[in-house]
Amino acid sequence: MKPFLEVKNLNVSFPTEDGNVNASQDISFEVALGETLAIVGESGSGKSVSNLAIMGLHNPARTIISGQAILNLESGPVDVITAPAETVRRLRGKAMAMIFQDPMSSLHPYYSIGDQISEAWRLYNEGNKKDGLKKATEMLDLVGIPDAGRRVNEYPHQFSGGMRQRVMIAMALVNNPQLLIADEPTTALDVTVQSQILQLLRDMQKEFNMAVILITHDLGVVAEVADRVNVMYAGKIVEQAKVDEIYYRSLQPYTMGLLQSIPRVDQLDSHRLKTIPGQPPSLIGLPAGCSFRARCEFASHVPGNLCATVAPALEEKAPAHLTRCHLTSAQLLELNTSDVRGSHN
Amino acid sequence: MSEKNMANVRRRLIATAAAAALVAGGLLVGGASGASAKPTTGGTLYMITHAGQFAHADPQRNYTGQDIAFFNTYLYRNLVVYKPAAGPSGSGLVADLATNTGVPSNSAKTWKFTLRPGVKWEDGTAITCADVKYGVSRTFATDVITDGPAYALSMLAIPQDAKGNSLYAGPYKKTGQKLFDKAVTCSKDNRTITFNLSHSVADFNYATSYPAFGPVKASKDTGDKYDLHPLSSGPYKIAKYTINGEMDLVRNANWSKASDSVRTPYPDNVTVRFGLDSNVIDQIMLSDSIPNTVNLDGLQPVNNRAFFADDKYSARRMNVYDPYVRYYGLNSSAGHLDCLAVRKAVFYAWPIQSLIDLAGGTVFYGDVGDSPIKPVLGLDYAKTTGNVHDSNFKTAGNPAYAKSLLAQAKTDCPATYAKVTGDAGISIDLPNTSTQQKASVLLKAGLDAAGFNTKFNFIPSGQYYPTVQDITKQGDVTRAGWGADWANASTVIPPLFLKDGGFDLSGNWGDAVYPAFKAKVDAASAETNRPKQAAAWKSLAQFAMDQFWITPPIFGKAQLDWGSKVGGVAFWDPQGTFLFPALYVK
Amino acid sequence: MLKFVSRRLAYTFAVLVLVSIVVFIIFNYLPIDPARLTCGKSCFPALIEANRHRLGLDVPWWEQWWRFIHGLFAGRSYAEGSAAIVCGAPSFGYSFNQHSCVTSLIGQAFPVTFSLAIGSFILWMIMGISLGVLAARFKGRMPDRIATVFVLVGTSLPTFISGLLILLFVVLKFNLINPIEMGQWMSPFSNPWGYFKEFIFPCITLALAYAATYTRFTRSNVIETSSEDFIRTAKAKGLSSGVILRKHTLRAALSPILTIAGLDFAGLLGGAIITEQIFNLPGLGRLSIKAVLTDYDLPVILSTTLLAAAFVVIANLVVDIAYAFIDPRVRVA
Repeated sequence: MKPFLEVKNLNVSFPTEDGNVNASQDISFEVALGETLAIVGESGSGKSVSNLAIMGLHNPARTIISGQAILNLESGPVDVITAPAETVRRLRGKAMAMIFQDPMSSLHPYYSIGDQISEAWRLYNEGNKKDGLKKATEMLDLVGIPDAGRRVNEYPHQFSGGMRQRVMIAMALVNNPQLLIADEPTTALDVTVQSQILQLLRDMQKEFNMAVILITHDLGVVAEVADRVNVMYAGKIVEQAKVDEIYYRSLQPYTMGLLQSIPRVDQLDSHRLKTIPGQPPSLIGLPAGCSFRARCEFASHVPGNLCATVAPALEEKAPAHLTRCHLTSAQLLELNTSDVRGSHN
Repeated sequence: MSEKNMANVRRRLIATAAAAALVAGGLLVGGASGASAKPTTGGTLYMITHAGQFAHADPQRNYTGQDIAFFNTYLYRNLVVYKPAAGPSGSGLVADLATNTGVPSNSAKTWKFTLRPGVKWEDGTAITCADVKYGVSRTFATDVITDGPAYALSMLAIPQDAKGNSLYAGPYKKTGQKLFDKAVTCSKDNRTITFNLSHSVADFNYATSYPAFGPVKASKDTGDKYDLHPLSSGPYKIAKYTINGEMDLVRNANWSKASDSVRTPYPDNVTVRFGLDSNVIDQIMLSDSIPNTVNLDGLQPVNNRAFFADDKYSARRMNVYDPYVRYYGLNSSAGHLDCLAVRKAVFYAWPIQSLIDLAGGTVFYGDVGDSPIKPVLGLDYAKTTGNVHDSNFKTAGNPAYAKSLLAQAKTDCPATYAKVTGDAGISIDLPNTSTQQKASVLLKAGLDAAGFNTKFNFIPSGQYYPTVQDITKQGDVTRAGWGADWANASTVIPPLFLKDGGFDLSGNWGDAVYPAFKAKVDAASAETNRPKQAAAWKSLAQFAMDQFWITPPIFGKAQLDWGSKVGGVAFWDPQGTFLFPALYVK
Repeated sequence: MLKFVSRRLAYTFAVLVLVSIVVFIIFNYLPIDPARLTCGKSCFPALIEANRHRLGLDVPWWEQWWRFIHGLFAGRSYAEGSAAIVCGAPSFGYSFNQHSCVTSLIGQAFPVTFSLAIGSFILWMIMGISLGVLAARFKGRMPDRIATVFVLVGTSLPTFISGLLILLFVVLKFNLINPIEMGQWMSPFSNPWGYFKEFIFPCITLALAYAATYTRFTRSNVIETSSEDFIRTAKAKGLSSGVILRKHTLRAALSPILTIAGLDFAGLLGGAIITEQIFNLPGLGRLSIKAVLTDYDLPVILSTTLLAAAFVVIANLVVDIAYAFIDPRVRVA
């Protein structure tokens, strides 16, 4: 059976006066039903951009999109990049749903929670307002909001941040979508609330058997929920593998750098956190060669000035493990062990 | 300031023999349409104005030439009225409600009028002597009936208290009613009214041409509200009157031509529209879009000039002498211009031509005059000597000569000289309007060139006259204008130059020459021999000019315009407006 | 909510009382003597005093104020004997220039001003909001550029010019209205066509000036709201762009406009002086300007001032209450 979502060579760029901003380039990945794909990267790495393109939420007048993003629906495959806007709209909120980073501002302040969920439900279901509210109450109950019958009539400002994110999830799931894109769903929340929301997402995924794309900059979150991971840098996928591969056998200097910058409970006393030096490059008129080379610790291990002249391709350097680097998998594994893992083993 | 705004100078004036003199001066006078066609009856005559309402419709409160002319023509019967005729004859009185123009006796201290029979009110009842008597009595209710002429108060033989209040308080309070009943009496047949005056008034019958001496039916009197709906005795009655809206007049079925030898009510309806924007009025007149319209306001200056320059409008316009003399009072009271040489210096430095040009030029605004009495007063006007006829007088102002006069003042009256040339300076009262702001620049240039230090008091235009008429607030030079109440300089010289005259801006009563002057004025007022009286006015006008109590005067002009379907247009000299009785719709 | 409304009502009342006192004090200390000013031409001291008594100015200002307030609730009477005049409650006094109780003058003028205000309000809201929304949706394109020109012209052209232009070059030029009929009050019930013809042009004049501001305001609010996260949420739900605009964007973008619209409307209820003047409409603006410039008619000046203040203060209250219904965040707070 084909995976539910197949993204092939997706490019998104924004023309500006200074030139095209190549926000995401040559993105290819798949997500199957019941599977969670995490997309990890710093802000500006293009991790949201490609997903907004899948949802069709970019302003078409100001965005250039190419490539494919195929939803394998029961009724047949649909390429949401080339399909008519109206077709894609009818998929939004039904086949695919999305929740956002800031639950504070993502709900309409003037409408009650019930109205907003009901509106989403009634878009694709026959039923009057009362049915909609009943459905909303069920959903609120499902996402763990206590006293849902009463709270369904309340307004967003009467909810805490975590509760609002639950509302967002309830609203996203009201039409049983097969794909849920969660864009930094926990970033704006307290740490204690974060894990509750992640747990909820996991539960919901099981309940609805969804394909989930979790966009985050937090590798800790990734470890908790992801099956597979795309690591993005400067608009490109630089590593793509199962979560364990990423954590224990990363073949990407950038990923290694990211992992080292996670605070770890077992190392608090003896280690200072390592950070990746420098800044990501501008996405306008990227120079030839590897975009990460300026910040790469291992660039010196690459012979000649290959890093500066040739952009590395995304290659499968281990089974089901793709990476962009001029170094071989053996070299990378060696460097990873000696440097990253070796530091505390 | 145009006469429209001259709330305090709306006196009227009579032209007698003056017209010829004016034509000789090479100026436009009189009607343009001529008396060719026979008037037609019927139709609606419109009148348009920017004003929100008639100042007053109540006969006892009516004191504006145009309003009096309007109401006397259409709504009120009056004891006597001005003859509805163009030219000098229009200034003569004719009997209207009365059968004669008044019979004086007892050295003109007693005046009798006998009423014509068969004259009816709008409600069909007969107009009686009691109605006239009641009407006259209303003037005494000074806390209800305001704004009207005060002749009844000052002329009727009713005593006053020390403060000048009449002991009769009017028909509403009835205090002192017996005093009034003695001063004004009706004959047994209720047809003859007798006025007993406190002093001789040779021209009392002219005063009775004011509707203030007209009848009001006591049972229909509504006090202050009578101003909105006076009971008609004339050929029309009020169908509707809304302020800022319109007044609609329709024919009064109880008026009969047989009882009225004066009025010729041609149109079926007369409608006055109030509150139109001046631009709209001008547009209506220029385009002749409502041809059966009379413009009560005159055009705005720019449009006025265009209208009078284009021959295609020649049948719809008229340029005439208005009733006003425009001048500046020279305040000769102590601490002001209490020095003849200084006043004379102001007079000869005065840039009169540039002021006239600013206000519209000789053709539209007026000519340089030589007397406080306007030539249209006829009998009482004579060319004066000196002043503007002096070889040193220049219409542009003669700063060199004024300087020499000031030099003389330096020795004659050093204190006054020091004031007008020093830091205190000479202060000129002007209404605070944009035109007067411009005028102040011309005045300052003219007077400063002669050595004055010229300063200005700009007074909000609505408060201008009440302010400057208070001698403690008046400056050294005060802009003003005046028109005679009727064709006798008794309504010019006393009000302008006597302390209690009502409009004395010359502050002359502290002057050494004043007592003698006052004695002569009082004598002239009481003089029953009209030619002798006229001679006295002429010499007193000469005296006022010789004292330089006023700046060079301007004999003002006015322009009238109307639509192409209005016939019979002429100027009614004594009222200073259209000869309403002759108007008809073609 | 009840507490909120009653507190605001008390505040409104206090403001009005304060305004009335201030107006009386101002008129008392102005260097103008209305008794002298309206005494007529042949005015000697005895007449001035009689006139002062007639106008009720022969008592101190606080007593004048009290008579005014008392009259509001109990009515007032003027003059004596057979000339007595009674203005029943609520009495705003008596205009000696117009020979009518001020309450009835206001009663005649208000429908005119109200018609003008409501007509222009509807026009400018429709024009301003639709043009603003169009400009926002087609930002940088032709509709936006047209709107920009409209805003520029509308905000830089004062009503005394636009009104005259409309009057002279449209209404009179094409004989749309007989100028002699202009400004006659026509009842919308008995003469709807006449009413429409009378009010449409002044309403357009006023609306043009206001619509420009509202276009600019709507445009920037819609653009700003469109980039809000909750609009993205609405899109993600699969709502059509029409529904998003109507239900989500405009609801949030137009709510702030309500406040300004309420106050602008209330301001107009006090009288649109220039427009009323140009089109000869006998409304509150004309009533006050005549009272101030021509008549120095104190009771009318006072009443129209108070009325205008009352409209604004009450509009504030109404807007606040309405806002509570529109914005749930305000409701609870």
